[in-house]
Amino acid sequence: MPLYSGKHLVHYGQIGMWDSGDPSAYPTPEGPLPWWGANGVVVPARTDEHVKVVVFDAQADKEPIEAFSTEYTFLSQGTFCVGSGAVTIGNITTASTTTVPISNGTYEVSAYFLGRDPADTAEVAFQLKLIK
Amino acid sequence: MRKALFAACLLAAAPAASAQVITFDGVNLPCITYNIATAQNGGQPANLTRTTNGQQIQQNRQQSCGPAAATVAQLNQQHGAVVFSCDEYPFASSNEGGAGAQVMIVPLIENNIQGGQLAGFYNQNNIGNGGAYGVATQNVPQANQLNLGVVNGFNVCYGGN
Repeated sequence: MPLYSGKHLVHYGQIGMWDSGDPSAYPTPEGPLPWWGANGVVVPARTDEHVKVVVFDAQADKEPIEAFSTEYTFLSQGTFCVGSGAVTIGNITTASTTTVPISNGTYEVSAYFLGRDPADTAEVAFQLKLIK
Repeated sequence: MRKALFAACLLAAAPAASAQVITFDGVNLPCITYNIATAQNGGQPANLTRTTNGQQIQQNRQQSCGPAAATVAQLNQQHGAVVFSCDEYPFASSNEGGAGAQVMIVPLIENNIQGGQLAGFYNQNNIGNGGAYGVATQNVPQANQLNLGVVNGFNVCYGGN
């Protein structure tokens, strides 16, 4: 079972996941998406649409994300830290966000999307792996 | 009218000193800053208030950029990927957004970065529903420094020259 699954209205072509307790956690936007920061990640998504976001916990699910959907295409991988016991997921400018409790620590995060063009995707997925 | 817009002086109105101010830089966002500066010069407010009402935000976006959606899709189809997006000022996430906002079709990457800056600004400054803030620009390019056009009656900025 995914840790989280829900839809969020996207503006500015982006969906993020960042440490809920850190006001500066939203990654600095430099260059093309995705953007990785010390406490979060932002990936591209189809703008002006409700985009599905699915979050998998690598430890709990014990399966590679491909086991849940062979249609996901890998986008990017990075790491970020969570210190507030939760991440916020969604789009800030549309106020379409949700908070998901997770353990504090450093996570290896893999991002995936459905379709051919990440900027036009209607579904993104993250797999979180607590590494320390 | 559109030519008059492009030829307008790009001196933006100064936002109120007491509010938090987000400044967009024309060095990395030439089309976005041009759209904001010309909009403000044309009478759009430099001081905005955020709305977190999802329905209002969606309605604002539809009223401002909805009419340009088919043209954005046409441009993207011509390029074979999503590379353009509609930009509006005042922002759809503000109470001042919606019908009457000034729109311009801009490179998607500029729209992405602007949205990232605005998201970070809202988050970092804890600007919630009804929160006031100012919008400023710097290093705004002149019209002759941009690759501008009009498609189906909509202003398009293809980027800097």
